Amino acid sequence: MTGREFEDLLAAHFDGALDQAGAAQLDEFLASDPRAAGRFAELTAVEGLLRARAAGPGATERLAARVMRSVRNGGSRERFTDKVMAALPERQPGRRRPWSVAAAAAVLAMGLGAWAAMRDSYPEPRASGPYRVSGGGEVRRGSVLSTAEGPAAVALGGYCRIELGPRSTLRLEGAKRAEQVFLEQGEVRCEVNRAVGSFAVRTEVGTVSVTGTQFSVRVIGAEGGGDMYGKRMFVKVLAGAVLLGGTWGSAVLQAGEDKTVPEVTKVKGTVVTACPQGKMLKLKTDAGQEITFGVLSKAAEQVKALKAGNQVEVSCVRCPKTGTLLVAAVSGVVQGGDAGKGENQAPPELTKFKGTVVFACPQGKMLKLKTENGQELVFGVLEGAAEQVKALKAGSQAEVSCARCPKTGNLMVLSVSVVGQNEKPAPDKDLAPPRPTSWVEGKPEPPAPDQPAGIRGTVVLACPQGKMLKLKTDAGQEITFGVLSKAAEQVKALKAGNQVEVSCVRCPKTGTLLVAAVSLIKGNP
Amino acid sequence: MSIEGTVRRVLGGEREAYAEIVEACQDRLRAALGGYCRSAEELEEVCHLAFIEAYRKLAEFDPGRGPFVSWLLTIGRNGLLMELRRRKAEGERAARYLERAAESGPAFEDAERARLALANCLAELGPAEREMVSARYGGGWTSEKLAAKLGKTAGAVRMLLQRLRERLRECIERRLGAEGEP
Repeated sequence: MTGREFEDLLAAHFDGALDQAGAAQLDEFLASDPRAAGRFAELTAVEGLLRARAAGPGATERLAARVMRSVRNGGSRERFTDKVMAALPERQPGRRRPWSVAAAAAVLAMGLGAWAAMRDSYPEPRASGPYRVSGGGEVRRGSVLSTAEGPAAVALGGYCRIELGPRSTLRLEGAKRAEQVFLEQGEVRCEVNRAVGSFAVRTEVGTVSVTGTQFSVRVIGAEGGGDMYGKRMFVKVLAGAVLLGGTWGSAVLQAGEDKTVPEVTKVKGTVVTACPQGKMLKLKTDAGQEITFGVLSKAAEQVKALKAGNQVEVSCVRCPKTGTLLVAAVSGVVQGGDAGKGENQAPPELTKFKGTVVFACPQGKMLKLKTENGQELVFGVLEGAAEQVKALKAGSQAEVSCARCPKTGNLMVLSVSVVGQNEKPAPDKDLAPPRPTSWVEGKPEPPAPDQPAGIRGTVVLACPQGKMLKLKTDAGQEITFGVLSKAAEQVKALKAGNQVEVSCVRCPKTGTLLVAAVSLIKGNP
Repeated sequence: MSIEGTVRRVLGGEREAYAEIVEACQDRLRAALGGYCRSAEELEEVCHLAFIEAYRKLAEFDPGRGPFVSWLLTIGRNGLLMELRRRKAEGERAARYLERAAESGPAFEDAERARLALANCLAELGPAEREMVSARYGGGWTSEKLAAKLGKTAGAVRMLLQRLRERLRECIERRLGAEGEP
């Protein structure tokens, strides 16, 4: 056997993924090679040490408490073993009773799976204290619970105890032994018993997964606006460990640790460009690196006030959607010597193009023009010119005044005038409006013309502003959509976990999928 | 007080003192049996039963024949062997490995030093590797779940985990071989 084959067998063995043939091979090899057998024994010991270490800081007390409950023949009977142990008559230590009799035999013979199967009465979600269920009715899976000034308590599956803080909103998700909640706002403190099932707290920022621990999660809202990307999540672990995950990355927190995600980063540098609308900032750091930031709405006014050449320090977070750096605050503004010479100050250089309209976005946001020398140009459109662009038809002869966007370098239409109309527009694939798209196993396909297909999936994230939708298809693929304005209200109403079908088109400019309509298949709107 | 002294207290009627024994010995028991269990939950179950069985047999413990921990490990091993043999091929195989390990003695002579060495070896890993170990052993993540998270195949994750185990094994050996704190 080669070293690589042995490694493969070891990897599968420790993962419990070794098939019968592999097991026979491993057995044979270990029997024939004492050195390999020694290494195998040591690796097994490492596996044991890792498992022992992973039992966590609270495990010692938990096991001791459990053993003592059994020893005392009373206490909690929440687990099958405890039930069996409690059913045995109390004995003094030393009175011989082989493990093979009733208790041990029953427990071991049935195994953990059978133990789980025996627990036929799985507790329904329960809540107590001052809380309100959105839409009324009883507390059940799918309910949205809100608190006002006081806290409320929620119990899930008999193993998750949640304290919902004041002014908090929580949606009950998950399934039996895989409990999950979505914290829309506020704070939860959770205590989860180990070895019963999994538990996760989701927020717009990320997910906190645990198997047995005590921890709290607080959603920190975007100050001064409903900008979801300004939201952050504070997690504190009291016992055990949790795994945090989100588009910003992942982290493991142990007992006593806390973390706010996404982390705020501070960057110092000189302003290269500050978008007059306060939506973009470009800095040159002292190390000479140029960084382009998006801007959270709460920092837009600060960014608007900046001039090229200003020395600033910006606090920024990573957008959980795109990973882009977003300015959360600007501080330490020092007027730079070359302020006034930057792109902010110089009026944008105007350029004019004449040509034939190939495609004009019906929303007036994009224009494609074929110039007289055959070059095709794609323009973004400034707000003031949107109506003019909307009015254009493919084949029209138009003259466009434009300037380059200082952020992206794209040509942006400032104004457009029609200078003539062609008899027949030249056929071009872009002349056709974008067609609805279906998604089969990750590949975009044109739908049958008479039966536009949609994409079905579960909502992972629906932007509260209705501008973005993230779906997980049945095939497990995650797709992010932009949203046409006509579908924004529908998207706003969606919640994570809703099952939907979306009709979408592909943006002819960027290729992005854009939601044109949403229909809810399952879930509470 | 030594564990053997605490055993005497329990036998003398101080039942609650048994909790001290459980607290003192459980890490050793977990480490000795963890490599043969299929999950953290199963390991906890086996340890629980081993302590109950040890409590029942406590009067049979003879300090002259060895330390209490060794006696407890034998009880735990026998309990786990029973469970493994109940399963079919997979369990029988694990039972054979466990028996062989019992015959050839502990892989790391000093279990407490090995435990300390592991803690130091984990600190030598990179942050991403430590997170992977935490997710796997602390979070109970399967290779499939890790693979989805890391954008790799489950097979690739298994190999990564195996390389990590191997690095930890070598590191523990190195540290145990050196003088002073492992």
